[in-house]
Amino acid sequence: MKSWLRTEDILAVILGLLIVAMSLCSLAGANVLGWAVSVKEWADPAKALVPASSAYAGLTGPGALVATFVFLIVVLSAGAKFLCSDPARFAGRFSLLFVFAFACWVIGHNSYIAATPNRRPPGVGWSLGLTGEAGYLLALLGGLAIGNLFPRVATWFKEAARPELFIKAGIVVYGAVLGAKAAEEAGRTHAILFRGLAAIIEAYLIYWALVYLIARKVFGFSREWSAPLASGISICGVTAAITTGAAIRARPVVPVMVSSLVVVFAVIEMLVLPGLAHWLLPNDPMVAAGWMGLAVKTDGAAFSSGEIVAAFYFPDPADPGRKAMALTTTTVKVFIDVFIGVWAVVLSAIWSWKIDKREGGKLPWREIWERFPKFVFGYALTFGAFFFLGQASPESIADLKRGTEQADVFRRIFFVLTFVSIGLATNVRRLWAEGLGKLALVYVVSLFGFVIWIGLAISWLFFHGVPAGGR
Amino acid sequence: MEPPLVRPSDAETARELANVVAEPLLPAEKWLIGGSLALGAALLGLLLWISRTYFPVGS
Repeated sequence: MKSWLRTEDILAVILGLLIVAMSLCSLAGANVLGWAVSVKEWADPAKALVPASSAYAGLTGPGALVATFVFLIVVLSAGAKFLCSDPARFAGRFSLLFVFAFACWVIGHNSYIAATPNRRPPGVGWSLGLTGEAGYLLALLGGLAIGNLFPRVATWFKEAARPELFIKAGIVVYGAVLGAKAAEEAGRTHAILFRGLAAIIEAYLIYWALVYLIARKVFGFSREWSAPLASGISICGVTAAITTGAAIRARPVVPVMVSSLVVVFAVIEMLVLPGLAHWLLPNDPMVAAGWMGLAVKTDGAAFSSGEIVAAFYFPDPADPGRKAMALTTTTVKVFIDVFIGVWAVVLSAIWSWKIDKREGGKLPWREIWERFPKFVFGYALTFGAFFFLGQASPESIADLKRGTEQADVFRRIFFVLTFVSIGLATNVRRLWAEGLGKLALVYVVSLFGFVIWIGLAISWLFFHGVPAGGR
Repeated sequence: MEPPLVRPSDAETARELANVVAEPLLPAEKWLIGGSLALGAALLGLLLWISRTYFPVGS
């Protein structure tokens, strides 16, 4: 098999499609995923876990948890083999990662932490009202604590803690969930898709040029450093920095160094921006959702921030407003990922023909393709298939939504694994590491000086007034 | 995207950064920056008009 096929991107697409296909068996009367574990808000620990389908009620919550764990470890260990890693080593590390992430997820659903005032169960007199998404934050903070206080433990987990794999598999699954929902309101979906595309075109053209200019003129970086920096800070973090590095034929070490800072700042954005968005835009959830996609770098952090900010606006997990917000963040982020390839070709042409002229002026198509985030095809497939099926046959929408409910259980598990993995991979000490000050400074100045604010303005221009449709 | 296999140490990164030499902006870079910003400004109006005309949203 070709080496570019053996990537986390391709594996994520395979995993996502497998789970969506299994979930859809329910439409044919076969309840193939009903044993998956679902976490509920709880005051009594015995009620925290339940099987996703009532048909498996006899399995009990703990039984469903074991079944889910066994399924994931088998599938993901096979995935590790696909990636040419050692499956046994992966399985050992993943087991502990799963236990830790799931414990955070369950604790975050405790009524004293999660319940909003209108949904407190009897006997619970107060609560923080953070919704079940508090589990994500606990997972992130737990991962950060381990990654920074016990770096050797984080290194040990590295084989299994794969945030890009988990989030991309989750997003492929989410494509089906959002596609089925979007088919109900085609007019708004078309508007979100077009406005999302328009917003990212604007963001690319403005962000990139400004960051590049500042890196070159104010901070005195060379072209080789400035282009990956501009892409990393302004567009989509790690993927963009590395794809840009390939496009301009920078030495591999340059985008790798840029990427190491991207992850740290992405975590800061994850912790700050969702709350800030809710505070600044209390009546504009779709602007907040678009903003997360435009401002938060790296796929994992952006999708995760979208999930958290949606919970701030719509505490009820079943609220349709949440899915409208998720569709907005996801649309923006996926278009950004697609555009990385377009922008890389533009930069490659300019570098090849005008700046770093090479014999024949050939563009590095292969390098760009190899670094292109291919999971977007998986998302486009699941979203497009469910959306168009629902459009073609409106009476099937209810079945499609029911069919994706069980797949969505796994999407949530992939998300919580992403949060803990991002925390483990984030070394905040890099911010004050000797010699990195200039790199960190250009990041701080650009990101907090104008990138996030321009992102907010663009999101407001394109998403202000778009109804989320929540309760 | 695959995660980079070998991440340089902080010392190696600092050494690389210390060796960065400032280079003057070439005309092609000026064209890239100016063209990108100008296109962004021009498209802003067009895309907003298309959004509001062809992809309206209810309240």
